[in-house]
Amino acid sequence: MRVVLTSIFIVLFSQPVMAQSNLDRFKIPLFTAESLDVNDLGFGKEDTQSNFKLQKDLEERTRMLQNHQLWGLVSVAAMGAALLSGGEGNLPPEHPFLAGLALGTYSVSAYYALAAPDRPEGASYGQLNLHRWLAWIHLPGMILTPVAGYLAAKQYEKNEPLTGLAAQHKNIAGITAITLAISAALVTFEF
Amino acid sequence: MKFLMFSLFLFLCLPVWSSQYALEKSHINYTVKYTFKTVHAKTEKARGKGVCEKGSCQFLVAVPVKEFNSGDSSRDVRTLEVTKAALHPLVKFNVTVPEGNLKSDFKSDVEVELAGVKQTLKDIPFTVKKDGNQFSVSSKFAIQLTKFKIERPKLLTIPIDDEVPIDFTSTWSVK
Repeated sequence: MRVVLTSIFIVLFSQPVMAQSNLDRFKIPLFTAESLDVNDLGFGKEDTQSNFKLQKDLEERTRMLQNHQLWGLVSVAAMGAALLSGGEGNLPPEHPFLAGLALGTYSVSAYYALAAPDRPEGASYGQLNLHRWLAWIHLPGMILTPVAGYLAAKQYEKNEPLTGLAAQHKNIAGITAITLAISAALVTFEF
Repeated sequence: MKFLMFSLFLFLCLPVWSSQYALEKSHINYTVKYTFKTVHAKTEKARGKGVCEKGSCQFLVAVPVKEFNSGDSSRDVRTLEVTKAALHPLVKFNVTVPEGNLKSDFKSDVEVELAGVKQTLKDIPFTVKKDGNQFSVSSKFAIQLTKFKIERPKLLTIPIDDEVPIDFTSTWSVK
């Protein structure tokens, strides 16, 4: 009886202090239902600490990419209208205006994409990859199209047959418009 | 002498009488529904622990929001933004259940912490399968984004569904 009572006494009064130091020595964490915490799960600091700058960057990124999307859609519409207004031989007066509108809105859209804060670490995947890859086609296309258009207009004025880059104005514009439309669709129907 | 040995035995062994569980592997899947589209995101990077004491067991599972992969990095970054993952990087699930209930399927409340907001989901069913020293636990439940003060992303001005079903499977081992 004395053994049992003494044992209970030891267990009840020695454990909280002694057991903790004992366990610390053997690196065995003592968890209790009250103390179970995410810090016990072994996450790194980057997974548990708040990062106010990152949150601000994420919000800014969303705002800028929404603008990128909006201006990109306007650019697709203007590009489509410019394509439809283009003619053979006689240059319709609205064509340069619509082409200029497409170039201007495209530039604004590109600015928002390039100026948006970078995404957090890690490679991009999914439709965003294709969206980015298509920029390697429509960006040069958007630069070449007005140059080729200007050359074509000059050659038309002189009643010369279209040659060189000028002869490719329509093709370059068509490819640019198609890739731009696909690129916009990839991110428009995504949330 | 016997008395001393017995006392020493009790002294050394009692701290580990409270059984502990470690999450060996897990699969958490959430589904986002939209009028024209359904998206699944998954992760296997959750960490968890469980401890049983005085007949009651507490299980804590946590996973960084950034570890969920929905197949599109743009969407996943947007998820980080709307869930304020930079401020509250982890989504946490907390379950307290009587120890005896672990032997078979049980129902329990689940406290979910997401975007810095805690919500308790009532009477969530859990399926338990024991296999030697390990046991698997799975469950399905749903959270409402608005209850976590999460602004729902929109597509063509229509927001995604408020309800997000979560599918959870896990394997635990007794330590």
